[in-house]
Amino acid sequence: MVLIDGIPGELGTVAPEDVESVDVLKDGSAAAIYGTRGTNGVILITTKQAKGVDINQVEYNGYVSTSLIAKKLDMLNADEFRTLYPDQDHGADTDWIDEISRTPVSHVHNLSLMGGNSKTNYIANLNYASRQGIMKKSDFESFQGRIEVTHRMFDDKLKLKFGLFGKKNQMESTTNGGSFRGWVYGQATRRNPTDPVRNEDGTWNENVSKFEYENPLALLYEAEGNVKKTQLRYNGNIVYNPIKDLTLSAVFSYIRDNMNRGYGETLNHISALRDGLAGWSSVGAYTKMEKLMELTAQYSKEIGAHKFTVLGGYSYNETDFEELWIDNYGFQDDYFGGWHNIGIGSALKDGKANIGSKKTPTNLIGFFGRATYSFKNRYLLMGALRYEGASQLWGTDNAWGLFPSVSVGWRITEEAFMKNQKIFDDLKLRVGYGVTGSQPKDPFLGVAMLKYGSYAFVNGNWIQTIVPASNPNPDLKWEEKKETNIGLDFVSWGGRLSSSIDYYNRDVDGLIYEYGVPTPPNLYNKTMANGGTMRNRGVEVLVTVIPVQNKDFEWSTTGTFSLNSNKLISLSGSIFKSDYDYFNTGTVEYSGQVADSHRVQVGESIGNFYGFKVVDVDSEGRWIYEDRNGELVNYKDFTHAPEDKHVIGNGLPKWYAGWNNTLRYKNFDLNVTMRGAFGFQIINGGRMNYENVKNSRFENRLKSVNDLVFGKHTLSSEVEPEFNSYYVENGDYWKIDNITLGYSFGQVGKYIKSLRVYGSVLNALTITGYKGIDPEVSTDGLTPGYDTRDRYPSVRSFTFGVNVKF
Amino acid sequence: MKTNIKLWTMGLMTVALLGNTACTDLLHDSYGQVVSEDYVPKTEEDVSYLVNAAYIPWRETLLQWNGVVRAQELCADQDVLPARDGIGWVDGYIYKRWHQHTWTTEDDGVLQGWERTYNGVNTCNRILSQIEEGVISVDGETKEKLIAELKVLRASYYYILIDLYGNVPIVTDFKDTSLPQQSTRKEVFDFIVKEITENMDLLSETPRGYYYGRFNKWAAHTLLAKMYLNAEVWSGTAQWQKCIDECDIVINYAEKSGEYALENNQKDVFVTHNENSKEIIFALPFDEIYVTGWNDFDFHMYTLAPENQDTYQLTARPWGGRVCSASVY
Repeated sequence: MVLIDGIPGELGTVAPEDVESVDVLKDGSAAAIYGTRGTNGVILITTKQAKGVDINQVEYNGYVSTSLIAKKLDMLNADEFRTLYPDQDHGADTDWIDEISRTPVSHVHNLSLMGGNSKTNYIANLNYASRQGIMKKSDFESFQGRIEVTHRMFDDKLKLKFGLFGKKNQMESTTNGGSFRGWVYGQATRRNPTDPVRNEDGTWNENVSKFEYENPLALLYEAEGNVKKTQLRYNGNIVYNPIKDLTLSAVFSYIRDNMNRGYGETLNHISALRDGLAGWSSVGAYTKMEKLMELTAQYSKEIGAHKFTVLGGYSYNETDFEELWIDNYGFQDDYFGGWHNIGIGSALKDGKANIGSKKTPTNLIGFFGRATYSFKNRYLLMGALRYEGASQLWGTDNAWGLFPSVSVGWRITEEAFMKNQKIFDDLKLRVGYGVTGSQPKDPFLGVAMLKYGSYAFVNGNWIQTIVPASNPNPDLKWEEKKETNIGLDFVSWGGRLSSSIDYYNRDVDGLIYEYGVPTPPNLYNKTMANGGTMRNRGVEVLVTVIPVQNKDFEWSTTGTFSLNSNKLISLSGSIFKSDYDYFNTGTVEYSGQVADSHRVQVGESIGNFYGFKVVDVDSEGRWIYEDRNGELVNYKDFTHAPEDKHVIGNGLPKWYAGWNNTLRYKNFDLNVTMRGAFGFQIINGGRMNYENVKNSRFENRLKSVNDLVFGKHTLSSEVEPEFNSYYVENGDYWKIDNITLGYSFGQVGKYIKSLRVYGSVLNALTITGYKGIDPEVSTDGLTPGYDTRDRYPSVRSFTFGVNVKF
Repeated sequence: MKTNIKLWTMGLMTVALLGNTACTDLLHDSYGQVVSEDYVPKTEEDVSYLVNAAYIPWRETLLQWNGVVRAQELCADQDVLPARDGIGWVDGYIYKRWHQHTWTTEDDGVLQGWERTYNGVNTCNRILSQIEEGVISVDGETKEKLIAELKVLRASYYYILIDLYGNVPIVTDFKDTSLPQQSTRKEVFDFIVKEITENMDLLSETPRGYYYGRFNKWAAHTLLAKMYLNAEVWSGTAQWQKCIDECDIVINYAEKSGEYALENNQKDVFVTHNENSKEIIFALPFDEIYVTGWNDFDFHMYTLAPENQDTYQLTARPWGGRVCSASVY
């Protein structure tokens, strides 16, 4: 969950130039304050605030940046292709990725004004960004403004804060409702490099007989559209101290998002040439609303060395989503508008246009209480309880859940026996335990619901049947995460060394997942149910050191390290009872086929790849497999029976590390951030699809198609593409991500208080043995570690910027 | 004193806010779907929306991707789906395995026939239990006739299952949520025959009209004839005479009433608008506008060559694919 000044939002809501600080709350007891939405951790973003007594400040930040492709799939060029597949030589010489990409230039400007005094102060922030993507026709423009006023009255007993935030952005569309059409990139990767971009008569070179073979430039230039979004946020904070020990506070916020979009294809688009959808166009819009109200009352008292506080509160969060869309085709020409005149397409009169609308309201209600006690600031105790209900669980027997948490802290340095030691400036031990819950994303899974099904022909008329929408599951309940946390924080060396070591154990009970269920007796073959326990256990270490600190030179460095192990403890839940202790999940794709990629099994780690194991090739380049007993089997004899699959890798990294360095020399500053992940594998989708010598669809191939498999022979042209262990690689990497070098001028002239210029490189260097584009692949959910075939090339950016304070 | 008043006002406001039950009510308005307890069918039309859902799985299990038609034809000697250079049709060797009779437990074709056909069985069971409980309110003769029709429809789904799989579980109770047990192929055969013969008398004799696309007496007799035709393989005992008898019942009705008859030109039964053809006894209705799910009806897409888009003025370009084997041609 991301909180911006206490109000839920997203990482992209506020412009980065407007951010003052970012904090992360990880452990169960800290997140228990925020309830279910914080179950995966809480990121607290604080925007720039007006501080001080007499404030009068104007600040400008601006930068310009460009990028280039750092790494892409190494496909054959035209000459290499025609050497391998002379029958498919169409004479031209085209670098398709080059044709669809460009050198982009982006610029961003941010202006903030702060003013006021200790009683009333304000901050206003304006931000304009114009960004270009590395692919052609992928533009994004945004403008946002924020203003916040704080006012104190009644002898500082009452503090009021009111903020208004507005944002508008627009992005170009080459696909319905989105921005850049990802399909274009996939087509450009595998299109025959001997095909020309255009035919001799100037029309786009297309081959409508070939399945899923579309000219990527035609897809880009024969389509046009955009998506426009606006967001308006109102928020208010009231903090009132009627008496010294009592604090009453209220937070209100209202967020409204609107989106309008339109997209259309011309009569030269493949949809008209091949699919008979002349001028396919669509328009759509949605409105999203979110409102939040939180009321708390806190009483604190200090009696001698004892300090305690008690807090009680109520939180109400409601969202609403309304959407509509229309699509149509059958335009007779390209003159009169497409999506700006969508009604004139003939499909509407033929009953073949699509129109739809929907609405989804949800809400989340919570009652919470918290008590803390500390003795001489040496022993700290906190307990919290949260009672939460979610509308997604309405209709089940368990819509409300109770989530407790408790934590204990011991400031060891405050003890008498620590008074004379000089090693630690501050040493604190903390132990915590908390339970948070997750609700399912979709509503009404607990009750039987009816929806409109397919049409049936009854007595001369087509009528719409009414059928159940899902398998009802009244036992559905909150997925509970129980986390135990033991941590040690210390500060030493006069503040120049600080460290945090955390051990955690997270058990997720009642994993919510769409489990396959047998039919009969169920109506549908999947049910959203709680079913299983998963354990994550690990250690996280953070160390910050300032090894050198003097007038001219300072070097501060931070290292992070984390170790994680993951295990599925059990699979059976209330409705999902199984004779098997495993199921297959995840999908890999190769040459139009799909296969399961992962196996989830009790007693094993999540993220195991499950597929056929190849250990060698024969003299002709055909696979030699290892069957279920470990025996070697030839390609011709291998039946590809599911029982012959093995665990061939795991996509979850065993440990992560990060190392950030900040150096300052006189007026120069240098910042380098690095990170890495180790002990995991990746399924290389690019090689799985494009390294096969057999080329049934006459697509382009990777240069590694000429490699000797296992050092013996190129892959035989008899062998069909498939998912096996040859395409699973080690993914360990170390990235030098951001390098920034800046120079500060200090006071310049009469009006400029400070001026700094900087240059930076993003994604500077990746050190890895992985042959694909980027070893940093998704590690979410039950199917981590799959690098898809159409993964975008990785991009290196260069930025030059200026910060000015007036 | 002032502080106290302020405290009290704050307190009252909070209580007033919370006292409003909206603050503790979980939202449950639904749009696009309805909680089934809230839907009460009243008219005959309302009932038909619920009941006709039981026929839809027939067209889905037969024709959708890797459905029954493919499973039956590609295993036989007439049709073959070879890999096509430039287009594909390899699909993990599934068509090759059908042709060579070497399918595995993970093959899509093995799964789809089961799931889609049992979808039909489950829907019949669901509607039967809803009629029994009174959720679908029909009375007297209408109720008896509806129950009979649904039981014969359910038996027709088992006709697909006995052919493709053989020893399937016989499931008739929608409320029973235990894992069902397998029955022998003979037991399934006897069950199908019993269901049809027991409910035969309550079925309608109307050939088309309201019963176009639904089970009437003649469709039931035809189904029984097909069961007896396969009796030797499915039940172990041949029953050729009973097959002849069932066919005769339908033939006699056709000759006497003229309601069923062969088309004069054999190809006419396959024209686009063939809803009035007397040759059709049991139909699966399709429509260009109303049945538009992906793969709901795509014979033309996977049998015609791409160039045939111009031959027949088709909207979309066919994929090529299925051909008849050389020996048949």
